[in-house]
Amino acid sequence: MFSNIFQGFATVMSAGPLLGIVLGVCVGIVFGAIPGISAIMAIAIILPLTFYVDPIVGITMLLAVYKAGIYGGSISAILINTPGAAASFLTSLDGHALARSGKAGKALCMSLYASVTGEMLATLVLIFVAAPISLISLQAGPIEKVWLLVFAFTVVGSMTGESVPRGLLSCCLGMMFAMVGMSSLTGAVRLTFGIPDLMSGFTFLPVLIGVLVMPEVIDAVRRRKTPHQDLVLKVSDDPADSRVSLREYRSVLGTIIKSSGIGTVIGALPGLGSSAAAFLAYGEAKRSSKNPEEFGKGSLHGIAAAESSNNAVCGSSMIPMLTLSIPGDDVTALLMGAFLIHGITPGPTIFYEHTDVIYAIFAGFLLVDLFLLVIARFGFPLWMRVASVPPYFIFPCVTVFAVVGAFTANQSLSDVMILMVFTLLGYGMRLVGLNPAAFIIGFILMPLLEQNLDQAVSIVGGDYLRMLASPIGWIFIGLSVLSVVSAIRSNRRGRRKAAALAAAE
Amino acid sequence: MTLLKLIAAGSTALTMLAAPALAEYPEKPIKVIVPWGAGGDSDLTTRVWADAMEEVLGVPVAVINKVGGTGVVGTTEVANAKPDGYTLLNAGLSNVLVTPNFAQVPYDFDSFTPVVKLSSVPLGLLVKADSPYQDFAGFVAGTKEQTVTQGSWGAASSGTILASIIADQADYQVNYVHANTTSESMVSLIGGHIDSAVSFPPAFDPHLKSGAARLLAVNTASDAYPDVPSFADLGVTGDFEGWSGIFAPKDVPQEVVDTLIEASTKAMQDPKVIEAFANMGATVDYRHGQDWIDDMRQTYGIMTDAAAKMSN
Amino acid sequence: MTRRHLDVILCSVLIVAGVLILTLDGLAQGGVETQLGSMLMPRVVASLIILFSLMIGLPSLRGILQDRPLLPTELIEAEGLDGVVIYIAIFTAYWWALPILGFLVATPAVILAVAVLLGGRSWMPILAMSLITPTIIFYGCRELIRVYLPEWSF
Repeated sequence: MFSNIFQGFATVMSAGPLLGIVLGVCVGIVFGAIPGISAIMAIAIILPLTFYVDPIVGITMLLAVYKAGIYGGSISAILINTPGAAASFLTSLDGHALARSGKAGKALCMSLYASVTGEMLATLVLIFVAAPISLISLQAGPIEKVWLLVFAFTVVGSMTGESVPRGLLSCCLGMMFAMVGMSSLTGAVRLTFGIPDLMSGFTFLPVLIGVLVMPEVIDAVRRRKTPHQDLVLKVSDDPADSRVSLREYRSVLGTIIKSSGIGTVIGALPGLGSSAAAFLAYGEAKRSSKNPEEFGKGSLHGIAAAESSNNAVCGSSMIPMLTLSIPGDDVTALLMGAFLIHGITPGPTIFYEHTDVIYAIFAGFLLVDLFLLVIARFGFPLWMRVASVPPYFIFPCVTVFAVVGAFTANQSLSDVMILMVFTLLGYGMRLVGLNPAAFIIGFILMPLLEQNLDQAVSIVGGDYLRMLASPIGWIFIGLSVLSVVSAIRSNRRGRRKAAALAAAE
Repeated sequence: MTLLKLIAAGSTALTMLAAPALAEYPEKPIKVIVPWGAGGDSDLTTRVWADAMEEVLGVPVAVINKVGGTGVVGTTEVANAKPDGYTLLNAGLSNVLVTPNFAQVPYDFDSFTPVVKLSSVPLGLLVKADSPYQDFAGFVAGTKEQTVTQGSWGAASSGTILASIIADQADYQVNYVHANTTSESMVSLIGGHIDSAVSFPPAFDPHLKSGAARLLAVNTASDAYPDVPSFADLGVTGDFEGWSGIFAPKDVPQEVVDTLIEASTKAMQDPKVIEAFANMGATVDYRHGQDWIDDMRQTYGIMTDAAAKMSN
Repeated sequence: MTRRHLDVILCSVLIVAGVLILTLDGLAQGGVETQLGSMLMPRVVASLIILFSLMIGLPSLRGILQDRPLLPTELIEAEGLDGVVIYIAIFTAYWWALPILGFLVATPAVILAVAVLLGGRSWMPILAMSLITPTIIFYGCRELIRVYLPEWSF
């Protein structure tokens, strides 16, 4: 095993693969950081080019784009509160709050270190225990996934911000919007109210940009009379505010490890994706935190949880892909295509049949993390300078990027219309205290829930008690109960605290 | 191969004759709409083809994924596109032959001009390796004794439709479990969550190789699957294969179709393309011309009959 | 206009929408029957929306009727909303102009307009930005990620 990996490092340490990694990391960071343009587009475009290069170069490069892209989303999330990738929408909560208080450097460092640590851990899991972990992917069938999703929805309750009913209502609205259009299950056209353009449903990217990115632009428009020097990001003079000390890192290490674990498990379950992982890890970090009220106001734990879990998914989603040839999401499907095109068929035998290539690629994965750490770290001064220009330079560009991003999803102008509608909706939600993050989670998870529920119902036939017959299912049922109970308890605690404050006044 | 060359030579001659009219095509990027997500089987074959076409034609051939409504969204867009040859469709069994018959969609087979067929994959019926069903007869007998679940993808998808045509002929009934993709349904199969599944080689080959699944029957018996009977051997008639090809909107000028066929013929002889297809588990099944269109029309008729039967 | 009034209006609208989804037929057309059916999940979610709307709307309504003092979270400032209307107008015009004028012509105008709306008065840099950014995006998208942004159609 170890000799294989050293062999792998020896293979990767040559000009071709290293150049591929550097290029991939740079492309990924830039594409990830621009709101609206996602790294998956870069991967889809680069894919055919990898026919002509060695699989080791091609695949490590694609993976570099993927990992750096997921990380890159956090840069714009922290600096201008516009998540560049879906998975970093939770990073913007705490990251931007820190940036507002002059600690942008600290937030950027935290998100980078958490991302790289999460990725490293997941990659090590991939290398050493891929086979046992892949059993999880097999054991979790539709019934288990239904319970996992139920658990995820109960976490919404603890993440709601202002009030629990408002959070749950936001989530339900997201679920409802996700069901518009032709159902991929039955082929029926639902809830379109006769508008033909809605037959394809609401495209995810414009909805995401509209709800999460654009309200920030509108906010900037509303605050336009405020003197600019009040709006420009200030950078604190204290160097301690621009880095993460070893002590701080050690204090969040527990959160990082737990969140990476959550990310690794979610990644190993095909089809759930990095946004769901970030969401569950953030919810768990908040639940188990001693100061849950700090979350959303600049908590390092919040950034660490969101970023380490969404990046852990990158590594562990390779596990079912490589060992069982099951791609979990669109990116791993593309990567699997890259493997296939090079004549490497993913599957249980891949480790024996293509030992050299596989371990070289694993070594490449670890190198990607290292390069990401170095390259991204050098980029910080540049990002900070970009973020400190006046808003009348930033937000016109964000507007155009948002439109371009919405357009690129399907190259259609009706998606730009959808962007506008959801911009208004997203801003309206901010005004009435509904929670955009809960909305997006509902939007992402609803199709998964419906699909798995449909399968589960078919599997059990008429015997609904069989839904309760799975031990893994019971784990998630237990977690759901725990999550509901602790949400109620923390809510009561919060109310008592507020009452005490009111009494003191 | 010589036949292909002949056709290629013929169409080259045609092209030269028609030179003035098409000196212009292609003069700008060609868009190929794939109505499925990036990374799927037909997306990959289309990308490989598009990449090779780019070299032959000298203009960018851009693959665009327009996902939604089980392929209907992207397909509809091409049906309504300007018939100038700059918007093409990745057509397949599901979006041009099955869906128009089983769902209300704003297009049918005649909304398109078929250009070329690139590849095909045979449908197979699988069970888990430790399943009590050793062969097709055992499987059919098993369905009479208890409820058997069968994995497929989408209730109105080509998988379910083909599977129910087979089930109808072999006289058995199963409970369909509709996963999102065929590879997801293979996971449910080898994870032991469902009893059987229908699927295509790119999804099931790895599991056959690892010994986790057993193939009971397949559309065409071949060396790749020794001792596996074809559906025809078992008395089930019909063609149960998925395929991937390129269609243009109807009324596209014949010269454009000829140029595309000529270029595809060249592209499909590229060893790199052949190798990439083989690696992906897609059999190159390169066809164009009237014979092929007639075959498809016949299958379309079978689907129409099946739809009428299923709605009764 | 306070949050309470907004709450009541919003919740009434959502409750009506939820009831419509629960009662109307023909919201799902075509398709094949499956065990779950096409309308089960929309109806479940609609019921939940009605439930949560009631949980939000009723306290707000009670607040209005009993004329309780407003909490700080219940105030909505109307300052700067005129700018939002202008921004949306710019956006709509952009959407409308894109297929006609093309990306390269429409975008500089939009960048300029939004920059001025946000209070930018340093003309030269803004002008430079409004010309350079669209060009980079247009050709970058075309060459790097194969996205063909609309060109003018005359």
